[in-house]
Amino acid sequence: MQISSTSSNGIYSNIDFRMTVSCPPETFDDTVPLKQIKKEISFVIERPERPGETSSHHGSKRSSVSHSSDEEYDDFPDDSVAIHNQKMSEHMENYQNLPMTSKTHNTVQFALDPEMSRKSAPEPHPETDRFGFFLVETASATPPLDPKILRRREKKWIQMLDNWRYFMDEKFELVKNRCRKGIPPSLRGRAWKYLSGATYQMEVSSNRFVFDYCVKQAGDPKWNDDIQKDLSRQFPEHEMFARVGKYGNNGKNDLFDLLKAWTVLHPEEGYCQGQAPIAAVLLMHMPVRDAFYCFVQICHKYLPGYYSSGLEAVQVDGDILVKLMKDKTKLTYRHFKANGVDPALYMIEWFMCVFCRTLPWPTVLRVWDMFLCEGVKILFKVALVLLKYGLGTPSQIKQFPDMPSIVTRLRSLPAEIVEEEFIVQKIGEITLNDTEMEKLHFGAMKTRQMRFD
Amino acid sequence: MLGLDAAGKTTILYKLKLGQSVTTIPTVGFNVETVTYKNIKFNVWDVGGQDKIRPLWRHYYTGTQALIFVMDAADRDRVDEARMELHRIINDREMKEAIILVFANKQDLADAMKPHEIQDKLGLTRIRDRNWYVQPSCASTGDGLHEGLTWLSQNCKP
Repeated sequence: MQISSTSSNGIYSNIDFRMTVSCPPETFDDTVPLKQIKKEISFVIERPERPGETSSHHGSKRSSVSHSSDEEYDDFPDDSVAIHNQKMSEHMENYQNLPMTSKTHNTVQFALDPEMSRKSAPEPHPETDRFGFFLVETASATPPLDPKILRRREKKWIQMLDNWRYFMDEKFELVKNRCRKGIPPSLRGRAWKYLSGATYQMEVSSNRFVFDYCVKQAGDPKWNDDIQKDLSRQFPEHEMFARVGKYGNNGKNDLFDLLKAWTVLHPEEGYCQGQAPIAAVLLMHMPVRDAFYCFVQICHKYLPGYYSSGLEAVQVDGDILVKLMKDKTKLTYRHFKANGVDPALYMIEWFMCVFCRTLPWPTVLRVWDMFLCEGVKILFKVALVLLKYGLGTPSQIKQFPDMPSIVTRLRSLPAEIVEEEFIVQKIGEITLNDTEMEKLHFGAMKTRQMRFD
Repeated sequence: MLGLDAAGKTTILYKLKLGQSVTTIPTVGFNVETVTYKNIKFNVWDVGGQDKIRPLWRHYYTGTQALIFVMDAADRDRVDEARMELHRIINDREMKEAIILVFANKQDLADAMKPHEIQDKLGLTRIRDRNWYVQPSCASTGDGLHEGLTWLSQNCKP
């Protein structure tokens, strides 16, 4: 490549004058189809929420965190609710073949993909860990749970999922505690759908046709382009989304379908780069239609406004986090204030991607289990744990004395404080009162408004 | 370091830091690394470029000595968008003192625009009160990146 440059001094060096081509920017007419779509499609939120089905943003009516011991629930008598033993084993079989990709939407694209048709002989694919990530040398991988315990938990979860309404209405504390212990991997996808309210949306509500409609639309070329650019850049080390992997382009095609369907549903709001990781995590656990409904619930109910233009909502949550720090981890708060460390310098990716790019994978899943059960509060709690134990002692503060070192530290936190059991335990020790959160939210909104007036 | 999405900012950052081309993911928020070149320490902030996350850019302005604006030199469709964003940044009060290095990136692509063309299209020619420089580059091979840092080191006030 020829290296030549121009500068403000007007010095040209080695310029290649052959390259003075100018192309008129291509234009596209995106107005007509969009207007039509907008009239036809909407996502109706027509029923009052029940606890845990979704979580409203800070405004959860649910009682705040309680610390009742797990054991009392573990002795919950099995015969007090109907058990369907046969059903259980059927469910188990259904959920053993994860991760899945949808078969319906991808057949054509798959066959047309030149990469895939050229290679007729199957190539050996790299080994993956139990989450589907390509294996790399890691020092300490947490051992999988004892099969006996796992089996016991699976039974409890199946019983719970089969009697979901009863458990959510009458035994929410139990559901919450079981989510805190971690959902068994074989049932995680199904549990997430129930917890988020996606099951209701995709099976019962009038919104159940929304995905099938949206996914068939062509979509706005601008958003499609944006999504396309990111497809091969999501979890490139995961077998579903890797450049070459045994799933071919299925994972990426599903990701495209899901995100495009979202932009058809919200043509004005469109696609935000924070959304693709969320969609990808869901797709690792369930087929595309299910993942779409979970995704919509997360964007509508758990993190409303997070991905809208201006990114106001996530910045408001940043202000709230600072106020919580003042109360929960004062040293960190003071240190950050003295060094001008603004919340935008550390919490944007944490919150927008629900920590899926920050924490080790086993911890990510545990955080998602709790987040989908308890809502956005969990994000604040995880953040407070990281801030408190990553930068909350006098010696740590001395070690990271200025803004660049603080920010760098927060991007490479020590392994022991991002470990799943540590985080889950410390989260249990933090109490965030709903009324207090509501107040902080209101205050933060007001302050922002005054700043812009 | 700012620029439109998929311009190659993160690839540049890690090429400078690690000397190798890494698989990058779309930046939500930012990446930050300290790069030492010719005994000068650069604190390089690489900030996500998608239009929806640009409202966050202003959080990174304070204390900036130099703006590295990365553009995809082959993306002729979005050169207007790049120009508008560049001027929005350099007209910000907090960025008045910053010198401007433009990486005309992706020079390995056949129809990549050359520096003089980019200079025109980004409206740099009219800027006389600021120190700026357009450096062609190819992040994946590393071509041009050190030349850019050399210019920064010669023009940044310590």
